[in-house]
Amino acid sequence: MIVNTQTKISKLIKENPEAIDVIASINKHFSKLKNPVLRKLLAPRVSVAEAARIGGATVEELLNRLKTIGFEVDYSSNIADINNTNTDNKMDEISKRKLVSLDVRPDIERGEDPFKRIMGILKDMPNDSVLEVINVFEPIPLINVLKERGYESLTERPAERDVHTYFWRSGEVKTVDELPMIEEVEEPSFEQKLKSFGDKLNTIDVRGLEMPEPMMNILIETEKLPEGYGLYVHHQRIPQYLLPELKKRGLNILHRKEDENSVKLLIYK
Amino acid sequence: MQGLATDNAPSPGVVVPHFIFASISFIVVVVLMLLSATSFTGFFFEPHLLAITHTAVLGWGTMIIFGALYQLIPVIFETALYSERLAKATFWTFGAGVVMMVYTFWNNEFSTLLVYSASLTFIALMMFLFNIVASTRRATKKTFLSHFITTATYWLGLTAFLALLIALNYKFSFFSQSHLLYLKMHAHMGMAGWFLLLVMGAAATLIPMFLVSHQMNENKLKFAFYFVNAGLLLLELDWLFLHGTVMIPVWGLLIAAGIVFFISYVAESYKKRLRRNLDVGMKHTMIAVLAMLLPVILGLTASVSGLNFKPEILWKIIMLYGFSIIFFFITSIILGQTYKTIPFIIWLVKYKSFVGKTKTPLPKDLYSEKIADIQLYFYIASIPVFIAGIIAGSEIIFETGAVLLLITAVLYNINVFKIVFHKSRIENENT
Repeated sequence: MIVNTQTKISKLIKENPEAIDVIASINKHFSKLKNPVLRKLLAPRVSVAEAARIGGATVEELLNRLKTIGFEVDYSSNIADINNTNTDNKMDEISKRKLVSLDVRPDIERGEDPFKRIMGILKDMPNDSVLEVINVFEPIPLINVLKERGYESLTERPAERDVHTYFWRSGEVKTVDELPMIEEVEEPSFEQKLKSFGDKLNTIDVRGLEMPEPMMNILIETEKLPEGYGLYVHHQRIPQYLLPELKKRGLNILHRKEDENSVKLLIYK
Repeated sequence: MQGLATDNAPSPGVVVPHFIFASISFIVVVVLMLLSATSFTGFFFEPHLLAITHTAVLGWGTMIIFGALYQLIPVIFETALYSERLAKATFWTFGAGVVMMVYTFWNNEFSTLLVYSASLTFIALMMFLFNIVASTRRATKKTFLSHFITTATYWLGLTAFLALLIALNYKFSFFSQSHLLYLKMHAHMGMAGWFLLLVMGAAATLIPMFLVSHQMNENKLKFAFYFVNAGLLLLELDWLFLHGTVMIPVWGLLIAAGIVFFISYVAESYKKRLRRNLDVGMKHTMIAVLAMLLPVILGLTASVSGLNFKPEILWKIIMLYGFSIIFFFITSIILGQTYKTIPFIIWLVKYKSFVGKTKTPLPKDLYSEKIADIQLYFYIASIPVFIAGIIAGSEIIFETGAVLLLITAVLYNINVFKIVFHKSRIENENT
């Protein structure tokens, strides 16, 4: 597996569970967290570049360490900049609002994920307020999730292990509260996942096909799969030769065995 | 719900050499056959016949089954092979053992080399046995089919053990009975215990898969399994302790009943198939399944002592019995299943990562269908010629059959090597 700055941490952990320890090692504070909080924190949306940022390390440093446990690394891909535009404008915006402060460092110390607590506070917070989250690192997964829901954010680092992130609503608030939150790295159940796709599901039945057509059809379908869609497959058996290829292409596979001659697969990115 | 193991497929480096060794052995078998047609038309037991038999059953049949089985284990057991390194070591040990054993037989070195070649082969087969048993122990999927594979493997171990005793007996002479009795036990363990059960298990997985037949009656397979095992066990015990009673044909009938259940299972799969057209591979397979009836009839006939055949007639029946098992049943099923497995294995290596991204060939595009078709015709033509040659005791007819089979073997080898050395048709490979 070749790792670049955009590779998702969840993929690394799946490939080699030691990756979590390597990531933990870039920031001595992380070592307190380890599994499973760190896993949750570095949920599927977090890339290598972002993980380095969370840990306050350079991306090269993290890649170097991943190399030591056997990953092939590619330094070339450019680092996406998360924090971008005019900090000054944002500071103005924050100063105009009522500040609600929340220190989640004790949660982190206890090894808990403060995600739910933060979401609860945000839900009740008036539109003209701003939430200040004080954490030991930049909560990139949270920033990403909230961005999708119409929140803007700004991060300041007054000192090491003292990171202040501000969240406020900009414009219209999207009502997507029921969408899955940060996906946990632990595999969700087949049923849950299937439900979560709702209508966004393509279905194929490969039971009447001769080898290797089931494999070919599934691969062709997964390549066509729109973002956020899942592929629901009716199969006769667990496709042993297909699995390594799906994994190589970064796809997730869940299965449910109906009986000896029937297996349902759910394949998604 | 735990994640799926995604790395069960064996690496091609483990599987492919078996196919190469076996294909070449096939040619060697037929060449040896041409060199000693008298062995098949005369009526006495002699070293060349043993050399040919063992090249066929070990170098050709068993070797290719090993390769195919390593590939099939993930499908049947949903687990990875216990050790690929052990499989590679088994290949080399077994290959050396077979070559040495064939040399030993051909050159009549029974009292000198046989013990060493038998030991080497025995060690290789034990390594194989260990690898299979260790793999099945961690299998997550326990279907009835897996019993066929494990039981066949145990019978193989037993066959090799008895062979080792026979080899030692040449040196130290400790058997109480004629060593022909033990040879008979050895041959039947190998044929019915190893080949028959294994082929049944593998074919029961593969045939419905390739014909695409659903809702199969698994009970037929259970009956097939129990009847063959019971019949064989009783047969072996009868020989071992009672040195062959009048009950022998009854034990034979039990095995025959098992075979009939299996044929009925295949017939059901054939009727229920969604794939209407049979390709070369499946045609060969169907010939093999039908060919099972011939040794059943011949074997039962030979076993009824009341029939009082003249020795040379009885010998012809026995010769045809053994010949039909090896060259009609086993050879045909291998010729067929090779076309269903090795193209797929190589195709996986070369094209899997391109599927869906660009246009890729199909496994059947990796070999020449024309050559495969001609190979099938030559093979079919050889069957009646061999039968006529053995019955008539005619060297020239038998040799004609051998020439037809040699053409079959050469065409088969051309296709196998074409597949194995297939160059990817997709440029800029990055795998």
